[in-house]
Amino acid sequence: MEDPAAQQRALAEGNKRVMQEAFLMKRATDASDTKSAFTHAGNMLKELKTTQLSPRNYYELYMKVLDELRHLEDFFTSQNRQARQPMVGLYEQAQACTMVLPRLYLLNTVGACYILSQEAPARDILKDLLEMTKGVQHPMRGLFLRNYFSHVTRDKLPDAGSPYEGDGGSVDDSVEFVLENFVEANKLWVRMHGQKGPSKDKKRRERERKDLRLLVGTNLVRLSQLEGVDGAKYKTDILPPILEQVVGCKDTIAQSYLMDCLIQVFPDEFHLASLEAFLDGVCRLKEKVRVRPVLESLMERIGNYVGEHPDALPKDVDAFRLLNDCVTRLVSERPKLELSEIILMQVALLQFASQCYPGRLEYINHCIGVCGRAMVSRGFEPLTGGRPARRDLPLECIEALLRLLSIPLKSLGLGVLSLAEYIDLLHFLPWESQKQVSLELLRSVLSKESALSDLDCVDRLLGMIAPILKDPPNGERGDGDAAMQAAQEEERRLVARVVHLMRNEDTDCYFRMLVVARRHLGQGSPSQVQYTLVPLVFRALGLARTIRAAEVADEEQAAAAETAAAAAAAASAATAKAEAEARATADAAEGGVNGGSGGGADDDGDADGDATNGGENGKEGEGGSDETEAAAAPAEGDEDSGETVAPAPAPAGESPATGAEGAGDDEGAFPPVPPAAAAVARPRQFSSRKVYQFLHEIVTAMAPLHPWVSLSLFLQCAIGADRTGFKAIAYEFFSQAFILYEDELSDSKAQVRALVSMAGTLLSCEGFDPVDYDALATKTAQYAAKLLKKPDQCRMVTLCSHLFWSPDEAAPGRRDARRVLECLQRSLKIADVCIAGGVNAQLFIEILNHYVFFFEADNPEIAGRYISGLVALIHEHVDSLDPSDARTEMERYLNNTLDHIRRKKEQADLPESLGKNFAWVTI
Amino acid sequence: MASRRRALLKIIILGDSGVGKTSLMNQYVNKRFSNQYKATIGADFLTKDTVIDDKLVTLQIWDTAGQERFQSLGVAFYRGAEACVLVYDITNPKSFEQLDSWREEFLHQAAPMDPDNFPFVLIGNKVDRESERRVSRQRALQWCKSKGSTPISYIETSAKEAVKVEGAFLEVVQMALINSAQQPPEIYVPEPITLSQAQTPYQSQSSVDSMCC
Ligand SMILES: Nc1nc2c(ncn2[C@@H]2O[C@H](COP(=O)(O)OP(=O)(O)OP(=O)(O)O)[C@@H](O)[C@H]2O)c(=O)[nH]1
Ligand SMILES: [Mg+2]
Repeated sequence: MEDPAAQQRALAEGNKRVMQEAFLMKRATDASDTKSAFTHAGNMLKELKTTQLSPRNYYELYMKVLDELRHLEDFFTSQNRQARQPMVGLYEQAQACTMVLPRLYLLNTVGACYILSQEAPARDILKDLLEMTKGVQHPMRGLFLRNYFSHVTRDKLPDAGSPYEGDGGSVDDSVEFVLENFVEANKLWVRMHGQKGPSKDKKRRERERKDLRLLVGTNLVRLSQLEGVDGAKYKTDILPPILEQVVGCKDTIAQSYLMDCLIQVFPDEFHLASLEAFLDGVCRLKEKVRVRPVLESLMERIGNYVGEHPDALPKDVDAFRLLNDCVTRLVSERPKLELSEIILMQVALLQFASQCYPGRLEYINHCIGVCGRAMVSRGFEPLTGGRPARRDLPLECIEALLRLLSIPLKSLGLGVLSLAEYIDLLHFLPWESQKQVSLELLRSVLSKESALSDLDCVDRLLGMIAPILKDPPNGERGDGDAAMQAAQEEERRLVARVVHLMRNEDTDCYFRMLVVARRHLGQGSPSQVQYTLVPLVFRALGLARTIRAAEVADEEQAAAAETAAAAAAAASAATAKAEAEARATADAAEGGVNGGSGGGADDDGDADGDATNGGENGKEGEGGSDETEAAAAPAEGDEDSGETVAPAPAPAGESPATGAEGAGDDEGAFPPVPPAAAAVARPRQFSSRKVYQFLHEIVTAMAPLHPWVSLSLFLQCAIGADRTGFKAIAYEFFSQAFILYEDELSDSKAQVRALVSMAGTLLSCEGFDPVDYDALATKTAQYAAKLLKKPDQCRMVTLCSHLFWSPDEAAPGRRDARRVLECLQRSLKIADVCIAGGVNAQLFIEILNHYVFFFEADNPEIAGRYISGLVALIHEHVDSLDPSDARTEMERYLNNTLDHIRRKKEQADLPESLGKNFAWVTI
Repeated sequence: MASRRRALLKIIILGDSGVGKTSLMNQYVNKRFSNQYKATIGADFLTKDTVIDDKLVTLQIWDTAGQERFQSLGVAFYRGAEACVLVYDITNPKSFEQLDSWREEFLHQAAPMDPDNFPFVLIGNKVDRESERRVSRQRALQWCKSKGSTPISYIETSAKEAVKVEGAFLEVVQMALINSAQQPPEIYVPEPITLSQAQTPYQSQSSVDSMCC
């Protein structure tokens, strides 16, 4: 019956009649009138014969009846205990009820009390009840009746430890009864499947049948509650008959439901004890049953359990093998199994393995490999070499693969990189999904915060994250909307952070890591390298510093050792040691260009250019193989020059003294690693100069695309080289920055920014020889003078005046009072032109401030009268202006400057104050 | 008869799967606990006689399935409950977040006369795993305060170590007693029955009714 209103009416009527009869029944029990109690109870139970109600409504009515039957139970028990009425009599009275269904409910009610009274063995009563219950073959009524049996007898079974055990039977009897009730209930339930009826009702009938499943499942709950059942008994006496029923009933819905119940209702130990049998049952389910969720829930359950109790896994059970065998069998026996289901089974298996067998990499590799092969067998292929897929992977497969790939990431982090199959499987995914996995990998690496110190690992990691670095094979990496830009930003940040995780105590290894990183990052999309290579540059600068410090330490040690060695030259022990050292060095230089490097090292080790180069070549020779591998390694040829990092053309225009000149005596002066140190530790293969070559190469490579970033990086490198004592290299980096400035920077704003950087960098470099410094400073000032916009010119020329007046009085060749004045006068001239052209007089005030600065700084060329004159000039200009905001602002600026000068004038009498000069300034 | 004079209190335990509903009931009624998880299917009750304020009361404690798929016949048994125990697991925030939906579903299905003042008790179970706590006491108390005019009582228990289990149920029973005293008893007033309608199944001749079973 479908109409809900009619259902409600039928239910209400049923309820009402139940209440009526229950009322009369209770009145009879109050009066201890057994006969009448039976009569009204029977009438009440008659309502359960209805065919009008849906299962849910029937359940409601049944619950009402159950509530009333409780009173009847109480009544029978007290009749027996207080009125000494033998149970057998009551049992017979119940039998007298003529209606089958009410009679059986009554018998079950009395039967439960009968067992309680222990006037007959529980086993006999239970057997009898079950036997009679078979009389109801109407599925729904039968199911509820069996549920009632299960309910009233739940605490009356002769279970271990129960009062009915022994004479009343054993736990085996209990198992048998509950099993029988289960089997019969299931048969009734399965029978509903084929029930006849109008086909339009079929859907509803199926739904209603599903609602009733609870009545079958509760029997399994009852079995699991038996105290006398342990894992062993479950395995031999309970699981086999249940599986037999489940498999044998051949009903898809029943099979999936009951397998689910089995897994949920029985404890983990039981499953572990009987895994093989259970899995065999799974394989024998109908093909239409979705086996994946069944296995998934089993594995999830025992996986969690074993994860928490690692000792729970029985030694004699190879759970992984059993599960894997089952999965394999299912795949081979069920050709219709969808690819996504196959992958999801491996997801579950892999999850299980990572919980139960942490660290067993072969299991992980296995699951991943199975998926890869399944993909191939279904005609999918990995996307390599930027080819688009021939056939798109279905969405659910992609999702399943993503889940699969993320499991080992969680447990292993970087460890996945050692799984050969992992990367292979990754390539089956579309680009975007690969990217997703890459990002997850990066996050996992970063969350562990552990340093990246293994060369191979860096190589694989950066190889794997190619989808983040490179553009998608088809289609551009567009700028996209704000969200996409934010995502890209995030990606770059992750990559940059990973670069910063690289480190290694061994500078050679560290350098190789940087070289490998450079190769990977350099293959990235051109738009990305300006973000990904920058952190690499800073890492390399740090490394150069580290190596340089070690080199200096080595030199000092060598010098000390030499002094000592000279003193003890005659000692035979020393001779022997020297021989050993010579051998060691020769070994180290094996394959080196210059076999004499060992001997060279025996030399005085002083500023001998040839010995130095020979030693270095020897060292490089050893590293040669690595470098040919690393495509991005700096060209070998470069180092022959020994002094400059690259054959770079000098900036256009005048050619300052280049490194070629300065090189021979300073850069080339570093002695090779002395043998004393080499014998103790492995000789260092890569010198700090080598790192600068590497830097030079990286920045040069990105220069054409990202001139501004590259220019800044060249300047950074220049500072680095300067700080580590390589003036020729620093000079070279500067030259490169200049070339970029000239060739690539056309935007005047960028030019101004670059000039500010160049001037600042130049001022902070301390190592340049005067002639080189002068060349660079002059060049910078020339650039300033050539700027397109006059105000820019004016300001930058002013700025450049500082290049000729080092804050450090003692800096050789860094103070040229004349040129400071020239710059300022030049900027005044430019300002004059600007102001004539309508630009406001602010420029004058700015220049005034610089005059004041140099005046204070004791620049002899800056005379007080210049300041006085300039002040007068500014006043004149300002006064000629009409009142305006601009004028007010200018006046304020001027007054502030004048205030400063006045203060200085007031302090003029303080002897050590520079301000005494100001006495001559008139304003 | 004594059996009908005895007060019967129906109490329902609700909450997500695995929070320990069955364990709490077993600890309270049978003084037993097991570490094993065995899912509950459907709903069933245990009874326990107890004396409160010199009154003998029978508690009918309904344990229910936390997994929805194991409750396929609906929740008709909510009706007539005198009190409801909501349980969550202090180590599982999700089970706490579900409390609202359990409470609302209960009020909807049980349809008590005065839903605002219906006695609920909230149990935060598994305090023996304090170190893994993920829901603070504060947060639970806050939730209790936000429901209805009188705050819901909150008790933290461990079914495993029998901590406060007895006390929690005592609280429930007391509230249930107050509630049932305030409710007009569900007295059935029989309609006058005309004799001709009354039939008894105890007639000797076989009835057609029996044929359809
Ligand atoms: N440590 C600890 N574990 C508990 C406690 N109470 C229950 N458990 C465990 O939690 C798991 C679930 O307990 P149950 O009582 O079966 O949970 P439930 O709420 O009845 O679950 P459903 O029947 O699925 O709704 C079992 O493994 C119990 O041993 C407790 O107080 N402390
Ligand atoms: Mg339970």
